[in-house]
Amino acid sequence: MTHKDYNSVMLDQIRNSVKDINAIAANEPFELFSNCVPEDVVRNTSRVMLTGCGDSYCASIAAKPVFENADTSTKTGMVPGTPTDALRNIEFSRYYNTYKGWEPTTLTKNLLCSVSISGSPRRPTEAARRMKEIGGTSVAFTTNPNSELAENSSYIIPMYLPSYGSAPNVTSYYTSMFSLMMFGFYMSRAKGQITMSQAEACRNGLLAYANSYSGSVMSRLSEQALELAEKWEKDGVEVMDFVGDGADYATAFFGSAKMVEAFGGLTTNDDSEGWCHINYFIENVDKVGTFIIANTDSPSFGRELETIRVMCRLRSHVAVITNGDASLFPENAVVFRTPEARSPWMHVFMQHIPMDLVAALIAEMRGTKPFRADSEIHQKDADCVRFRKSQIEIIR
Amino acid sequence: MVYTDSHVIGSKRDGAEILNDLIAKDIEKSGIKNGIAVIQSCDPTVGIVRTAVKDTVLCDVISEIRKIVPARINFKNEESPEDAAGHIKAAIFGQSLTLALKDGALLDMEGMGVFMLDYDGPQNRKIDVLIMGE
Amino acid sequence: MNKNDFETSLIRQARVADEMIGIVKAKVEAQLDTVLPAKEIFDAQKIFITGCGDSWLAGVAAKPAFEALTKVETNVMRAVDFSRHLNSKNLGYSPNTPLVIAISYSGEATRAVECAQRAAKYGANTLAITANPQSRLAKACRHMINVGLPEGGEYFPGGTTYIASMLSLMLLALRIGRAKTTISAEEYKDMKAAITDWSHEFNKSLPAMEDQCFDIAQRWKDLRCMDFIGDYAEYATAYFGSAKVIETWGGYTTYDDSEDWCHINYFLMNPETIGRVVTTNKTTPSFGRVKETINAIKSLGSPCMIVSDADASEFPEGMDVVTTVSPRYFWLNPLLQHIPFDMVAGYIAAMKDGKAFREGDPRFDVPELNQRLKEGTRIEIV
Repeated sequence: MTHKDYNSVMLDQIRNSVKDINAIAANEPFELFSNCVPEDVVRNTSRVMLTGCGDSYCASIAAKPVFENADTSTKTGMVPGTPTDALRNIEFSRYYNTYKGWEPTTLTKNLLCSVSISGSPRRPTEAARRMKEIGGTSVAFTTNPNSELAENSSYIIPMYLPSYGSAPNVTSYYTSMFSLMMFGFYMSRAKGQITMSQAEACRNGLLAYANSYSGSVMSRLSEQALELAEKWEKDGVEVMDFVGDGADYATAFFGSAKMVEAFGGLTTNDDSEGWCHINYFIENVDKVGTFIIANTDSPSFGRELETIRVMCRLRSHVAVITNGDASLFPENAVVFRTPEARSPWMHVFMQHIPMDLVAALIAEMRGTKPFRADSEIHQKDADCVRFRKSQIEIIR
Repeated sequence: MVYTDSHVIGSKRDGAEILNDLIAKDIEKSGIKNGIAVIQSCDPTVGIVRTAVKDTVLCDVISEIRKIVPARINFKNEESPEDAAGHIKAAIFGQSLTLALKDGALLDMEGMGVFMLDYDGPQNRKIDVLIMGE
Repeated sequence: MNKNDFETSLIRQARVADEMIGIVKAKVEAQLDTVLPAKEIFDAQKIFITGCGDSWLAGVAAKPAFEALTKVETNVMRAVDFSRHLNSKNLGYSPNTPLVIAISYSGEATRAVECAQRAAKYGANTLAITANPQSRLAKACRHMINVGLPEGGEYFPGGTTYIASMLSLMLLALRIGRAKTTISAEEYKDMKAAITDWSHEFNKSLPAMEDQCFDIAQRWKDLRCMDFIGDYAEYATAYFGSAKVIETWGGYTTYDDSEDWCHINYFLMNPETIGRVVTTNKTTPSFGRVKETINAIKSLGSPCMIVSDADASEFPEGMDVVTTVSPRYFWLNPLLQHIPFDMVAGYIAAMKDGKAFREGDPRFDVPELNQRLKEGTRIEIV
């Protein structure tokens, strides 16, 4: 069988990545951001808090470098942007500045970006309401301008999302990342940290990178993913371990979440240093599948390489996602080589694809339905009461 | 005849706690009519002063003491600037008062108060009272 | 099964935790007044805490103490993120700012040393928390707290060392708060006393806790995975519990916060084969949310262990609730609340005859693996 013999809504999303990203970009020009959030608001922002649940939290980690280090589209041209925190939603809602207290003089210069595709989970709304009640400003990133999140936010970025049936989300991750990143460039441009031409170059650079995942690249990655999925299934891999540093942790975390959503697999994650201290000791070395993201332009590439050598000495199922050549890594590593990006912050936008493919293919091989639609016990909460009806509490 | 007692008093930051009622009760309990009363703190960052019972006066006293010995970060005692300055203030401005007692009351106290100044509050502080006479 | 036949290092460490807290507290308190000049305390407009594995978690666990007591913005970062990914403009932008606290019990964890060297290079103030004053970390930092555990003690897998690192951080937060008068002298005294008061009280509950954890371990030893849940400082307790499972017997674990769990790990297959482990406390701001998450766990039918200072009646029936004594100050909870997890991991390890850190297992004992830690990994200053 080839990868083309497998079909699912999740695979459709992955296969349509390039087309969908271009559609998202076409619907979200720079003017969208300046039309939705006034320039003086972003110009006066001295601290940004990015938050969301699950995939939206991953998108926040992925976009943080763009906010913090405005990019002039050259690898050495990073200039200081705006201090930014990527926060777990529960952390912002209940704990951020709870013990320390907010600085009243700078509160109005804090900007919350609360991300939720549907706008219906309560926690992002809780974040926006908390910001409102303490006198701060928030921006809702959502596809639903009538959602509870949008209604409770100061401003709304109406994100564009091509529609698919129910499946682990990949397209919406592009939407969230793209919208946050472009908003980050809008902020840097409004502050005069980069010019409009530089902001456009960053946007075009990101789209050029996305478009480089053309038919042949996608086909190669799909074949590799199928081969890996078949082998790991045959060898009875029981748990998957995801490793990434800095923004690449978003890719690791996202990949891990897709395995859970697609087929309910056990997963864990860490960074390349923490892994050496903890997950290194997992007993059943032959039953662990490991994914690590290691790009040659990452400041921790040296450390990642050391960790990969240890992984490959110890474990028989190691996959590396990298822009580098396979010869850099031990022979027994499966290397998913991804196209070169113009700037390091771009990798995170696309490098989750190999893991998305593995998740979708294993789900098809096993015949499992996404989000445990085939599990009676999970379907007791098919309406997601656990997060859509969760009690809102505002911590001042 | 000698009478002694101790009291624990909670302080506020930069606050002055008036001790007049507490001293009056001790005098009454002691049964001593004429003699002297000693009011003293053993905590090294607490001062005992006698001054007018008037908010503006108290405010001036506290702020001038603070100006004379400001809390700063280059004292040899590094527990905290407030603590270090507090030791000095207490040493300079005194930690006890000896007051005359006549006919069962402190002499010439109209409009006047005995105050505990906590230079490193808020804390619970121990105040000792000794009354001697007949 | 007789509990006494299944004793492991983590169980023995739990039994001496109270004594060790007394020793570390005395030793660290003696250093507190001189460890950081008052001027440098006032200079520190921002604090970073970093370390690897348990040391990083000690920072996560102590973050609320820093925020509540010092009122200084405190960031706790994974070592590799601090040393390689943090923009250098965050370091040394003003004299003695930020204060960077790097933790390593041995003082030889290379990444922690790298963090300290990088921070120093860019002009930040640096403070090491270590047990080895001659270590590379101690030498890389301007200041040091020697955690001072007695020599020759049983410290691995790290239970006591975790307590020592966290306690040193909490005492340092108290010291900074005292100097800046964000806490009063009275509070300073009472908070220090509260540490040992609580530790003594906690110690009294250990025999019953051991019985309860042994019972849980017997029922849980064959579960497929343990899934840990906690928020903010309790995330550290959850993550630490997960790490101990891996270190003691190499089991499968996963972890998340109470909100994201509802979005992701809720969907793990065969929930009846997964032990869900939750830490939460009645004063924690997300207590209500965690209770909702526990209800979702209940609906899935997973075995569930809860460690909390709240009454067991707060949670659904049928859960294994380990009730811990409430400390006078909420930020103390993480100091000892990992102990029930240490016990369950320790007992299961003994039942499975697991060797801590896969000792003696030839797969884990090859020279090529020396790139993992300490001298084997190269320092790069970005």
